[in-house]
Amino acid sequence: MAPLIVNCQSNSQADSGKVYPLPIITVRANQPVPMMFRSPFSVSTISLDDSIAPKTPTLDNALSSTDGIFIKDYSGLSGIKTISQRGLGSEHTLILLNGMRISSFENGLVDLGIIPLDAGNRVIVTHGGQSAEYGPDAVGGTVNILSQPNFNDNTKIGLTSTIGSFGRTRSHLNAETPVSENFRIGGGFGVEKSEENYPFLFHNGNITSTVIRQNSDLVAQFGNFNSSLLINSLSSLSIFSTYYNTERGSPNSISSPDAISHQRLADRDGVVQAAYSLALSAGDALSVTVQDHYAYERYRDPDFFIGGNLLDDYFKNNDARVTGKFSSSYDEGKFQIVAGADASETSAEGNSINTGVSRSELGAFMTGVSTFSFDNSVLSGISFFPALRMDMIEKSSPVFSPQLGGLMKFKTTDIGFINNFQSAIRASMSRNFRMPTFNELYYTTGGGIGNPDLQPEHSTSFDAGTDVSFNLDGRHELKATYFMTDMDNRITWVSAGGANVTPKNLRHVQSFGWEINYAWHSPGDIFSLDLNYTSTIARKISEDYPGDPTVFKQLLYVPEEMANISFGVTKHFDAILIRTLGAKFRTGYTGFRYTSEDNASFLPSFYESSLEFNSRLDISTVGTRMKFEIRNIFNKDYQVILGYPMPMRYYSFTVELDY
Amino acid sequence: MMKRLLLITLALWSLLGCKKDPITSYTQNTVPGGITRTVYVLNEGMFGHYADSVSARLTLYDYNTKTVYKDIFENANNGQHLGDTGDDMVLAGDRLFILMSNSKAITILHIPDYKLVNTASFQSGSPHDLMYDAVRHRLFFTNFTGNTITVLNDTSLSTVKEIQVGSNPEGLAIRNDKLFVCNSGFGADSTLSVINLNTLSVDTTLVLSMGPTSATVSSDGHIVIACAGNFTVNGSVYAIDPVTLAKTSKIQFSTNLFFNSGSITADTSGNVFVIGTVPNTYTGGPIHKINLAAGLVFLNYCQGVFYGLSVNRYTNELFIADAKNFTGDGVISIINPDGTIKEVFSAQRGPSVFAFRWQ
Repeated sequence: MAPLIVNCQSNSQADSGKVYPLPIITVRANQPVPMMFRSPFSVSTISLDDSIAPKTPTLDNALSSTDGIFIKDYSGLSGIKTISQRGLGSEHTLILLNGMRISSFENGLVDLGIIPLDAGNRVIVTHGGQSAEYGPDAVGGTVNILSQPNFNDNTKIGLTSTIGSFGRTRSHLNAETPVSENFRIGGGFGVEKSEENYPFLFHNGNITSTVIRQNSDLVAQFGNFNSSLLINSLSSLSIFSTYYNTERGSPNSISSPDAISHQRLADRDGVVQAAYSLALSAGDALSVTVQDHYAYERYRDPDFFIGGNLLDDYFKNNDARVTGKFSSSYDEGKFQIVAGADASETSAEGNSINTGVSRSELGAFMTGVSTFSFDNSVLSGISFFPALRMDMIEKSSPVFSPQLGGLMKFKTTDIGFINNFQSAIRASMSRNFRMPTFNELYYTTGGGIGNPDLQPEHSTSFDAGTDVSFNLDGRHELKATYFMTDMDNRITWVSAGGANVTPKNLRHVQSFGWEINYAWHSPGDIFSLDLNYTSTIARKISEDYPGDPTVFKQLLYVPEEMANISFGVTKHFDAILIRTLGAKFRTGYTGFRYTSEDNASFLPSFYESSLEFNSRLDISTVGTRMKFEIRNIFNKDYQVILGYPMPMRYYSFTVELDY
Repeated sequence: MMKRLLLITLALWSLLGCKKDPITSYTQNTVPGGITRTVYVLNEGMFGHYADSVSARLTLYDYNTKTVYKDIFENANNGQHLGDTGDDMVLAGDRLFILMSNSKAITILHIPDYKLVNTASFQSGSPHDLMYDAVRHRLFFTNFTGNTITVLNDTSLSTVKEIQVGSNPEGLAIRNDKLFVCNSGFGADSTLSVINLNTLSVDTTLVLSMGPTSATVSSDGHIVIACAGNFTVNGSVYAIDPVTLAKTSKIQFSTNLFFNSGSITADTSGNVFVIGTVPNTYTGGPIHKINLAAGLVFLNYCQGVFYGLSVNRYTNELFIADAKNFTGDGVISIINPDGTIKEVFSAQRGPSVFAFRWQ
């Protein structure tokens, strides 16, 4: 996809001649415009604010119906939620905020359930390896949260409040205002609580008992601040920060109806970003982004002694990084190049790793687009997307990550009743890698022994697909992708003598499958239908020991099939008070997941359905959006992860007021 | 258009789940009456699994007919499962006490119908090793993460007392009104608590080597302790006089020993058998044989990767369990006193503990 230099008109209606140069947006994974027919990769764009219903509150909610994504949900609002793409682990998807890394260096994970999206506008999911742009850990793909503020000239205040089952409450207050003609600020603050004492069914053979979930409560505070300064007609500076603080129960897996745990988990996370952009000429631009990311996590169990001490683990990470990019385009954008570099320093401390550990990284990358147009052909054009990145990471050899993508677009045509038929074929191939986490390198408690000699995991990714869209009683869009990933040197924890375990580069895994996506929107956007299907085969292909019977078995918790369907109806009114009324029915299918490496045990497949009613009202100058949602409407009893029962039917009601 | 789309969508949706969920069930078999020589094998099952095809199981082996009966508990109790991670088992008369560590429960089965008699759950501590005091009719189990020993009434399973011991207690042995408790500390502790069975209090604490994990009583009445070691200290075996509490011998190994409370046993001829380790595996190692009186060690007496062992005191045969890395059914080998293999039979997932009933 082309690196794009954007010089936009402001959203201001009062002065349409004002120009705001935006930061360079690398279209490969950051571009907010629709990605069909523009990228060699399979990209899903999720809008967080559809102006009809209140905003999606957390990242797991936003991603749960996206093709190719499996959310490993450890149940309830407080349960940890991690992501899996293309049969790989949670540590193989890189989570970004405005293109900058926020995935944990400590354990490689991001808990999607506690990342607030109140300041976000979109989430862009790029499936497949992206180390050529982002360096380490972007092996299965990336998830990029974009928070570009929708400033206008008016002061705006908003309040969102939610109540729901199991004592759930959530409130968020946000405000934004112009301070001067060239300077705007905005921010928000929110709190969330829930008891999560939901009933679930415990099955043991022919005996089923109803049990109440315990020690699953959650208390959270979160906030954000953003500002934008137009320095002159060619340059701007924007600052964005976000923070969350959570304290929650962390119940064990349920293995008896009487099981009670007392573990507690606390997370504190803060990110500050400053982005400067400068338009050098009509086709050239420069941007620099600086970020500092602080993360703290504490896990304690008052019932668990290790060597005489109670289990009370904590870690603190601080990651400071800077990324600079220069982009240039010519010949009306047919040839584009982005060259950049980044540097980071990450430090870690905690009582479960050696003290004073840190890691420095330097990266340099170059991406490009070359487009060749055709006049007298069914082809509209062919584009090539080469990219190369070099990473120099402390205590590791330099790593090169090449990538090549191709996009073949066909001319738009009409076929019978079908109008505006567009199609394209795309393909990409890349080499990617994941660096060992601090835990894997330096862990020292509870029997775990870190291995400082660990090498990066390496993978080769390939995908090929087609995009089709046309008009026939509305707009139809179809996207289909075949993917394959081959990973070696995969890190696995093995016995190290006594009660100790240590990680080693041992395994070779392969995954392949299909991601298919279809959407239809009727004329006037009254009806919408979205359907996606993912199949994934992910297998270990190396022996852990001679005669290992788990070779060529499906990896744990990788469903071979997933699908989602949602159908929505929205009625717009010209009335003074009621502007829209809508409803949406969604159902998701997750196929069975193996829970033992020899595939002898599994969790059954399940359907989870929800129904949502929403409305938008305008009362004087106050816009009101409401949503009533029934989740797990058919009251299914199921588990995503063994031993972590999901809530049965539950409800929530959200009101959002904007002034 | 919308109707056509919905119909097509429903048709496509109905194709979902064409890949059907696998089907699993337990082995249906009936244990006949009149078995006079019974070997019980407690199969640990996979950690975190409480009621599926790889969770803990009880297997019965008819020593006379060489017949194996699987899923004993399920067949006798309407498909109900034992629970999560079967870590220990004690046979006392016509009762079988089974300890489930991750379910935190003790279950009593009646022999020979294997019906559930009683079960008790405990809310914390991760129970690991079980011992029966036949004189005082009490059960003892170690709370591996709670640093205590819980004392139970052997019928009601009500708690009589909690006794504070060292870190992460594992193996237990009883001799001369004393209960010996291995305090493993995950390899960081090195002590052995000695509890007076009359006062139910710790009389003394002995210092051994790192990671005391399993205990047995030798044919001459000594308490024999296997210390697994840790990342920097190798394993060792101690023999302790149960009266004077003196350490009468120590065998130092050049590798770790297996960190498992069921990794040591003794025969009736003065020999002790202990499980070693194999690099990179969680599921045990070769079996070493020690003749304490002669001070002789036979390394790799049984070559392979073994997870559990026990001597049948009725026949002096050594029963050893290969868990096959918890991938599929485990295999039990019966070793004659001369070291030759007498018989091999299949057990279930993660065999680890034995009990013998000879009538």
